[in-house]
Amino acid sequence: MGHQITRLLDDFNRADEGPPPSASWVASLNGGLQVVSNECAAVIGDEAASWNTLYLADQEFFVTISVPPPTGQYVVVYARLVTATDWNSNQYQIDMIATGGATDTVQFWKRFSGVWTQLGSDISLSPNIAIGDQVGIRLVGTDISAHYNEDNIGSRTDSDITGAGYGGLYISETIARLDDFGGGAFTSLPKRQQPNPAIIAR
Amino acid sequence: MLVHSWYVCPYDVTSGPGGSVGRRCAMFRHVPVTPGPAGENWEEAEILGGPPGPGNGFTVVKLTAPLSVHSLVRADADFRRIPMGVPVIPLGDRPGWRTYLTTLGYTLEEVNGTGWTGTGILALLTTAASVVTTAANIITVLAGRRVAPKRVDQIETRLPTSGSDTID
Repeated sequence: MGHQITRLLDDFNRADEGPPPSASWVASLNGGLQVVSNECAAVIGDEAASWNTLYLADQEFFVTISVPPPTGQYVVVYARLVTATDWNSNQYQIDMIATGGATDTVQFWKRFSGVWTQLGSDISLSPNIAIGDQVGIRLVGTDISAHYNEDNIGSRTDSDITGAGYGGLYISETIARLDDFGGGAFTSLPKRQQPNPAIIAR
Repeated sequence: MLVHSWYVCPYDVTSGPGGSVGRRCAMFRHVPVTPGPAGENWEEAEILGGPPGPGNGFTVVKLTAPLSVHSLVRADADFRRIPMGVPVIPLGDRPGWRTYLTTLGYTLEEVNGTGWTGTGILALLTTAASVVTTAANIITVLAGRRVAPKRVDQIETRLPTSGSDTID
């Protein structure tokens, strides 16, 4: 996820607080998330909160799973949300869904002009979502990619939402917990820091 | 062997995030997860269609899959395959395509501008309509116009093409 480029924004290590988790957050759906036992939690479920800083269009956000969602439940990382307080404004997101089977599922979604559209197919995630796993979304131009423990596990191309926006989190029910939210504006590594393919090929 | 072909299909209604109503490409009916067990893959781009809303609209899809999967897709009445392998679309097939494309919101001028080739139709479907001639079409085109149209090559590069062939 390029952690050397974007940074940790909230480790949630503080006394129980919220919703929202702090003054740096705003609720975007229902009560908004909150800090419970040094983790990010949903107390009523179906809640979302945005990190209340507007970032340039090329951006990424990531979070660590501290309690995986049980079967049928899911967590979301979203980006380019146009209105920080409105989950139903334009945005892209990745949904990490626990299926109860041998594999879990990742979905890309777009909210645009009041319509939810899934982008492309489901992506099978194996092994299942586990404690300590890190999930993230990266938007660079019209490319949207999902990242899971440093691996790019899928990408989509879409050009409907191109401007600056907010990043944030969603928890579908009350069991899953999240930790260590980070991200921000994404800038590629300078060329001199990138591996030289000619050298790698030797 | 994996082969690829292009299709036009509608969106289906499905459950969206947060218990909402959403839509997804009808290719889900046949290939819900990618990569599939036989290496199936597909990429879609929204095209001009009916008014936006759950279940409305159409997509152009490039499917890479075994022939058996293509057979299932081609048997689905909601799917229309774009003939990429023939030099020009036969005269007898053009009225059907003309009706279909105008239903999607394209003008007759744009349809005729495809040169009646699969490549021309694909180019039309993956770029915003540029000609508006009637009030009805203005509404349709404005509702569906892309901010920055996807190009065929953008979709092409996202799918593996080595070792595959078209089924035309």
